[in-house]
Amino acid sequence: MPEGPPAGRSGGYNAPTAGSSPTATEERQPWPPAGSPCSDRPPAAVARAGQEASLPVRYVQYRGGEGMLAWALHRISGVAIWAFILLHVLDIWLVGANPDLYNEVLALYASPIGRVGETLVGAGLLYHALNGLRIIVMDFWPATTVWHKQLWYACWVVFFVVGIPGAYIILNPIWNGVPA
Amino acid sequence: MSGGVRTTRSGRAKPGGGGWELAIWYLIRLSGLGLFVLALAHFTITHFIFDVTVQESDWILDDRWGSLLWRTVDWLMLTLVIFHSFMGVRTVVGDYTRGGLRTALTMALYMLALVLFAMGTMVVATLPFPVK
Repeated sequence: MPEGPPAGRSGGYNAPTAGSSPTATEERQPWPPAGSPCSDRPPAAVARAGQEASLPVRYVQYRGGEGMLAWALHRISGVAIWAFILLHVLDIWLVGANPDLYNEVLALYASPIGRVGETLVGAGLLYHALNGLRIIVMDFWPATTVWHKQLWYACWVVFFVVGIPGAYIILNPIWNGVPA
Repeated sequence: MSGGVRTTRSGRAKPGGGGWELAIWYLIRLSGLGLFVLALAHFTITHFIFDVTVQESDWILDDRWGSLLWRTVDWLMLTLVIFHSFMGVRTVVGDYTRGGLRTALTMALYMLALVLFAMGTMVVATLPFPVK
């Protein structure tokens, strides 16, 4: 598989990469493809030129590599945060509607399982925020797309530098109790 | 951006032709920038600066939402997060469904978004201020 766009080239992901895929000798395919119901699928889901894959195959066919992982994790974390937002607006609504019930929910958040959950929500939020910034950078300064992998690695550096101490702060009370 | 890179590895490709979808494309990014600051600050306040255990309803009433400024900030965050998250999930729904199912799910999402926005607005706007 091609390892992302070749350096110094602004052709982007759909630009054919020499000799590495069936698209190599084809015209660059427009993206999103005509008739595509949606444009947010990773470029890999586009059936390779001249190869009309069966429908299920077209849906599961991904190019792999960092770009696909960045996309998949962005989507998974996004949907997970959305699900948490549903819960979170409800629990904050309870502060007005039923404060005692809110306090009971808060006790669940403060429990060991709750803290593990918050750590996961925080991890999803942090990844989504950092990778979202990376997407914005590449959308508005397309030339930086050449560095999409490096930008992604930079996201992970920040993720762990911020995330590990953060996880420690949230999880520590499980073993040592809440600091006064 | 004409003639440039039309896709990114993990974003939604910029819709062509202008109009509603293009506006949403820009607004997703704009609200994302806002949430980068607001949501991360929110998580920092509610998990790193204050432990979860202290954030009982009285604490929200007296401290967290004791000022109009913080209520405004949180309401702005509510607005951005409802737009950003529901429009994001709408894109996901649009990817994996089509036809009547997609229409039904999208409409259900819009309804749910309105209900949640109303609930959040209700509590941030009507919770009484502390009596000093």
